[in-house]
Amino acid sequence: MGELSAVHEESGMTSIIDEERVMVRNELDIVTARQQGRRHALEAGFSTTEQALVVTAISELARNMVQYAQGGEVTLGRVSDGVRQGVTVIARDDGPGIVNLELAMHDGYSTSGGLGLGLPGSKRLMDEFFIESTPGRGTTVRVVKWKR
Amino acid sequence: MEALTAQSTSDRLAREYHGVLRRYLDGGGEASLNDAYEVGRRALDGGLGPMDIANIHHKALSAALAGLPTPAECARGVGRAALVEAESLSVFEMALRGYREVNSELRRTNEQLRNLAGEQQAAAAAERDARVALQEVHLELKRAQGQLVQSAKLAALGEIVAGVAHEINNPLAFVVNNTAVLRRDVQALCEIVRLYQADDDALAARDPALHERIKALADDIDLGYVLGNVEDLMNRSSDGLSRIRRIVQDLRAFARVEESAHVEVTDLAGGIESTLNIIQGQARDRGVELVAELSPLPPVVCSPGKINQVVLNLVANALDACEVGGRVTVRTGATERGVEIHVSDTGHGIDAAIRDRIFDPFFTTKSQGQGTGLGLSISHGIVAEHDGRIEVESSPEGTHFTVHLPLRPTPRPRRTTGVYTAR
Repeated sequence: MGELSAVHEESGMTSIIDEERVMVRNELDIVTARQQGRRHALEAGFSTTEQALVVTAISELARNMVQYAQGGEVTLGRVSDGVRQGVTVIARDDGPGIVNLELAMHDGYSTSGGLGLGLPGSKRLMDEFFIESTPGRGTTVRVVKWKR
Repeated sequence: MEALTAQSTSDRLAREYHGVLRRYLDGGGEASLNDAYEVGRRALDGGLGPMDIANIHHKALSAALAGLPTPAECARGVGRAALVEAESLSVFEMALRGYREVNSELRRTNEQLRNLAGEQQAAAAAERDARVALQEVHLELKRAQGQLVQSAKLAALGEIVAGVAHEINNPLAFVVNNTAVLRRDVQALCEIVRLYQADDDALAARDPALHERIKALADDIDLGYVLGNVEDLMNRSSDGLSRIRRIVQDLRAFARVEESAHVEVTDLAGGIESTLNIIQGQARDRGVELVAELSPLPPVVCSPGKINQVVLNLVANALDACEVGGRVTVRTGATERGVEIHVSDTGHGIDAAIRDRIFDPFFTTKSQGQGTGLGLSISHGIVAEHDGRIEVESSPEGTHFTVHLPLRPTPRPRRTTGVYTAR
C-alpha cells in the first residue's frame, strides 16, 4: 500500500482559505458537505469531472464516519502551495478508531464497500492523503486535490 | 436467472437514474447529485459497467429533453445533466483506479514469486550439483580407501605367509636330513635282518625258545611285508617332504609381494611356476585343467612378488570363468623389448557391455562375498607401475589376457616423501 503519514504536522500545513465546517451525522449532512466541497472545487477552477471526483471522495469519507463513528466533522476549504490551487477535506471523528491502519487501507478489508472503495478509494481519487487514528479516540483523514 | 436479475437490476437503476436526472434538471441541487452518486455505487455493486451508465444516462437525457421547449434550454439541460453523469461515473473511476493498483500489485507480487521460484530452482539445482560432486568425491575416497585396505590386507597376509613359511622351513630342514639318514639306516637294518633270516634253521636248533619268540614277533608285524614295503614307505615320505619343501618355497616366493618397493633383476619363469603350483590345487578342485607353457625368459627388472600377484589374479579369474572340464593356459614368451605372459581360458567370455569396466576398482561380476572387484584393478596398477600394459581379448569361447612387461621400467624420479622445505 501507499505511504501512510500521520497528521502530526497540522501546524505546518498551508492555511485553509474560506474554511467551513460541517457536522456530518446523516445522509442530509453528507449532501451539505458535498455541496460545500463542490463550491470550493468550482471556486478553485476544477472541471466538472474533477468536481465529481472531489465530492465522491467527500462522500466516501463522510459515509465512513456515519457508518463507523456515528458521524463526525468535515472541514473543507481551499489551499494553495503558492503555485497550485487545491481543495482540502479534513474528516475528523471521535469514533472507535482503526486498530490496524494498514489493513484498513487494504482493498477488500472493509465489510461494506467493495474493492477500490472506502478509504483506499478516496485516497486514489485525491492527490494527497493523510490519516491518523487512535483506537478508542477517533480518526482524522486529510486529503488534498490539486487543480491540474 | 442471473441474467434476469442483472436485467432487472439494470432496469431498476435506469428508472432510479431517470428520476434523479429529472429532479436535478428541475433544480434538485446537491441532494440529486448525491443520489446520482448513490445510484452509481449501487450500479457498481450490481455488476454494471460505465457503458451501462452511459446508456442509461443518454436514454434518460433524451426523455428529459423531449419536454423542453427551446434549443437553448436543451443545451443548458445537457450541460447540467453532465454533472449527474459524472457523479455516477466517478464511483467507477474510483473502482477502476483501485483495480489498476491492485492489478499492478498482483503483477509485481507474481513477478516476485516467479523470481523467487527461479531462485529456488537455481538453488535446488546448485544443491543437486553439489550433492552429486560430493557423492563422486565420496566414491573416490571409498575407492582409495578400499585400495589402501586391500594393499594393507595383502601386506599383512604376505607377512603372515612369510613368517609361517620361515617357521616351517627350519624343522622341515632337519626332518628332511633325518629322513635321509633314517632311510640309509633302515635299509641297513633290513639287510641285517635278512642276513639273520638266512640262518633261521640253525637258530631254531640251537635255541628253540628264542626262535619261537622271534617268529611270534615276526608274525605279529608281518615281517615279510614290512621288509618288502619299508623302502616304498621311505620313498613316499621323501616325496611328501619334497612337496612340502616346494610349497614352502612357493609361499616364500609369493610372499615376496611384500617386498613391494624392492625391484631386482628377476627370472620371472621361476616365480610364475611357483605361483602356478600354489593355485594348481584350486584348479584341481574346480575340475579345470591348468596348463603351463613356460619358455625361458630373459632377466627382467621388476618387483617379482608383484608380478607373481598379477599372474595369480589372472589365473584365479580364469579358473572362475571356466566350467568343469575347462582349461586355463599360461604361456610365457620373450619379445623384442620385453616379455609377455598370456593367460587364456575356455570360459564364457566377458560381456562386451562391461569390457571397459573390468579394470575399475570394485567392479565385479562375482556374487557378493566372492570377489572384491580389486584383483584386476590392482593388477592393472602393478603392470602400469612397471611401464607395462595388460590387454584383453574376449569372445563367448573364452578370454585371453596378455601382460606385456618391458625388460626394465623407465627410470623415474624418486617420489619424495616427507615435508618439503623451502630453502
